[in-house]
Amino acid sequence: MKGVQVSDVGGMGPVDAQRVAAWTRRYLQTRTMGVLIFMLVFLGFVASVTGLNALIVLAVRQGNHWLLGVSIAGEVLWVAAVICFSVPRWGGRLVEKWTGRYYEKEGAATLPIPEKRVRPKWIVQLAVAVFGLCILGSVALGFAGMISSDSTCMVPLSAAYCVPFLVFLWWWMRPLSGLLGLLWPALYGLHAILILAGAPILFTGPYQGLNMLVPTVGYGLFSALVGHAYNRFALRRLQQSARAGI
Amino acid sequence: MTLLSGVADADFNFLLSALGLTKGNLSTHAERLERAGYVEIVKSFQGKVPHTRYRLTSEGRRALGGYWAMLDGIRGLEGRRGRK
Repeated sequence: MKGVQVSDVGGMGPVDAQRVAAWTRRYLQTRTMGVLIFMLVFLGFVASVTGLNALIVLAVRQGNHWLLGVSIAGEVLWVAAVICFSVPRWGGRLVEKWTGRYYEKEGAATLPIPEKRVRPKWIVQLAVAVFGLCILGSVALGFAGMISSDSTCMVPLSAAYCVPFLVFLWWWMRPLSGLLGLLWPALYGLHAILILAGAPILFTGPYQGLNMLVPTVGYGLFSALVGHAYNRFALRRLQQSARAGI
Repeated sequence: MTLLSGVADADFNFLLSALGLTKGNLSTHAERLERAGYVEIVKSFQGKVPHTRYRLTSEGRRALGGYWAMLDGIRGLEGRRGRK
């Protein structure tokens, strides 16, 4: 094409299109509002139950039957609410509704899934069953007094089954999950390794409950927040690169 | 079309948010692409709210690929001219 300057050639090229596709993928993979909501609900549950437990202890010490009754009733209601929320048909739909509202203005898109991918459901069912058995085993060991929450083996033991399970979930969700999905298991694993190496990061006394709370809810919440922050950044980059060709 | 090439499908709000076009502008462009056979538009309802999804057809992907190849060719030509 004689006399045509590169600057005359409008529109985008393959590299720009790859950039748009990459930012689209990163943006869609980091929509972590649903995870954030789950983490916050769980954190709220833990905080409320801890507070209610303290009130129960106070009520028993003071002999305050009214406070005791209200505290126990509150705890029962909270546990029932969390159980209902944990059921995918109820809690899952509620979270989907809230996240749908949050992302409504940004719209929805579906990432392409390779046609050759064959992932039978029994794999995830087996993984969930194994994970559940591991949790029951840990609880049984705890009740038997073989491990306590301030011991050096509680977190590494939980990491031995939680980290592979989180990595499995990340693998199973691909391409819907990006590399940031590995942040939580990475932090969890690192935390366990540091404890085994003797790092002074174990909580004792009244704070020993944090030993399990930090690697589970703590790092989960942190990872979801990082994902959300990156999601906002990816959206801006997607808009910049998509509008550059217009 | 470039935006649609990176996804399986996308709804109207997604394209609007990413491209920054007006609703009328986006609708008009999408309809033209549909008439050309490059984009498939699927209209449905989510409850009582109308919902429109867009996906690139195989013809659209081929046309986009051809367009990029053409641009690449022109830029390669200019690159060689610049080196002379």
